[in-house]
Amino acid sequence: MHMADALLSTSVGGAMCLASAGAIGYSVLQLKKEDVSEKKLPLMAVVGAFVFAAQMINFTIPGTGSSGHIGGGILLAGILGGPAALLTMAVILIVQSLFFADGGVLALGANIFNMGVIPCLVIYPLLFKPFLQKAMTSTRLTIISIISVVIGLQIGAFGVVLQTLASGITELPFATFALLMQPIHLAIGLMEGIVTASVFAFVYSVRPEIFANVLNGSSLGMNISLKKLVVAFAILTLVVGGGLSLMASEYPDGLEWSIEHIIGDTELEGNGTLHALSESIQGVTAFLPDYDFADGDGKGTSVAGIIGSILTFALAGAIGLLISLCKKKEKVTA
Amino acid sequence: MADVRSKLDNLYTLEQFSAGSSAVHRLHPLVKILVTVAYLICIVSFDRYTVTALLPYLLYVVIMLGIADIPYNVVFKRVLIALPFCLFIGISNMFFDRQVVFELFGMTVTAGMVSLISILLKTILCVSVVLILIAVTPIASISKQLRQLRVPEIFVSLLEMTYRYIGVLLEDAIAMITAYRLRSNGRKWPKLSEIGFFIGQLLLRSMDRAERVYNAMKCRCYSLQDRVSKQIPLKLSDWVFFGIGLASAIVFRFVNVPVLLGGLF
Repeated sequence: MHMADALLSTSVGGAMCLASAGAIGYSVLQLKKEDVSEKKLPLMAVVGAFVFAAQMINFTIPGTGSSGHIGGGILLAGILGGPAALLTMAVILIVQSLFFADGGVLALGANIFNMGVIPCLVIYPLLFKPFLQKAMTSTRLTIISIISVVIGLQIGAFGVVLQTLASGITELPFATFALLMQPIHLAIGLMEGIVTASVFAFVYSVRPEIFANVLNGSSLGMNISLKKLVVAFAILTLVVGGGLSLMASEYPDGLEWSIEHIIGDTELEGNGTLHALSESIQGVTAFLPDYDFADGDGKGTSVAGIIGSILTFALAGAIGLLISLCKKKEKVTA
Repeated sequence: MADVRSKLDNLYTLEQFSAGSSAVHRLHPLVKILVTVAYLICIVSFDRYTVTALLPYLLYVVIMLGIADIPYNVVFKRVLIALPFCLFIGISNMFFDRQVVFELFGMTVTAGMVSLISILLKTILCVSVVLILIAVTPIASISKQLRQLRVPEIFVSLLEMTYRYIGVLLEDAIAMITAYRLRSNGRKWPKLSEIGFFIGQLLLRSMDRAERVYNAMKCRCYSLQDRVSKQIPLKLSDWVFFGIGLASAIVFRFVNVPVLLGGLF
């Protein structure tokens, strides 16, 4: 689920960064308004570190022999509330990307959006909180935890699909990609949901007061019928998971084509042969790859490219060797 | 358990590296952050069929790792973590993008293969560039810099504290897993039916710890006001590094150096 830098284009990455920065700014303001941020900070930090530690703990999935671990968003939101949970999730993702290479740095915006904003600022206030505010029992807590995690993960996974496709890095058709991602994340979501629910159930039975902030405070959902909301989310999930992919299969990689068209258009001229070739293969599209092996006059550049690449490698190796030799000498003389 | 331990070691290793005193370590954190971001943007902005033009960026990795005295296997291990999803996308490109680009020693090279190599190269470069920043800049200087860039205080404090507590809570988790294994008759991990109690217990312990931490901090005059610390001025060496870093990132982006080099022959 963590997206890497290599899979995002600068524009998609930048746009997602802006969106997530906005959400983080909103959450900071919300916390300042609550005026409990000072007391809450250590709790947020420790619970954030807890999510890290808890992710190390695997559990055996019955019947499969494989193991899974917990996710974060809904678990954090249930304990800390939406805005605080988003900040904590953002920090977790930053630490993961900086120190563990789990998710890219430019991709942080996308990752924070998919795994933080969606569960903490969308699912939690619209679904989780109003459902429990109506009546708080351990059964309801279990049910809504599983539902929230599953829906959150489905939307998040769909976000990954959209962002990757919009970046134009993958050649996977939209439908195939979506059909791969959604079911996998349905299974993961169910597992994560069950674990989140069982953690909540345990905590609720031992210290029910921890869920006080879920029950207190204003709720967006109070004047909206909850049933309608659940139905709306269920429909949304269905549309996302199945409907769109079915529709898209009628127009295979429609998104890709349009993007390719926009990018390819500006480079149509001066590449006659390649253009004709790609046109004959692809029919209507303006698919015109910038292979840097074949830009301009074809073969000549490709040979130059290969020789040059070998030279660059050799140069890099030589510099590396030289620096390490110098360092060794320094150590010996010192 | 070894995996939990190794994650913790990874964190401590990076911290040890960042405490070094090489020329790169001594640079101002701001210029290191800016050059890193510039490199990332330039690398990511290449299209999916770029291979040769990406290679010169390896020079930065090699030079920085060399000067900072960081072994290559640290980079290698981290690339492995980032790889699976990138490989999935890259390999699927091989199946869907079969247009022949050119032939090399009788072997046909398809566009999908080129894009697979491009994705792998980008992954290696992006991961290394970030690793270099973290391995030569202590987290304290990074967060100080973030404060100076007017990132909200609560966010920076949260980042610092979470980072500190990861080590503590991982030790907690390791202790719990050890205790579990000693009593579970050879089972390695908790069953699904036990996981709620197990993780829930860790959560409650963490929350109690947070309470104690808060009290301890309060006793030491902690408050969440915007802190203003003195700005460290940029030295000449910082400007030089910034200039060279930025210029090289941009030049490599717009000039295909390997093709130029190869063209000389």
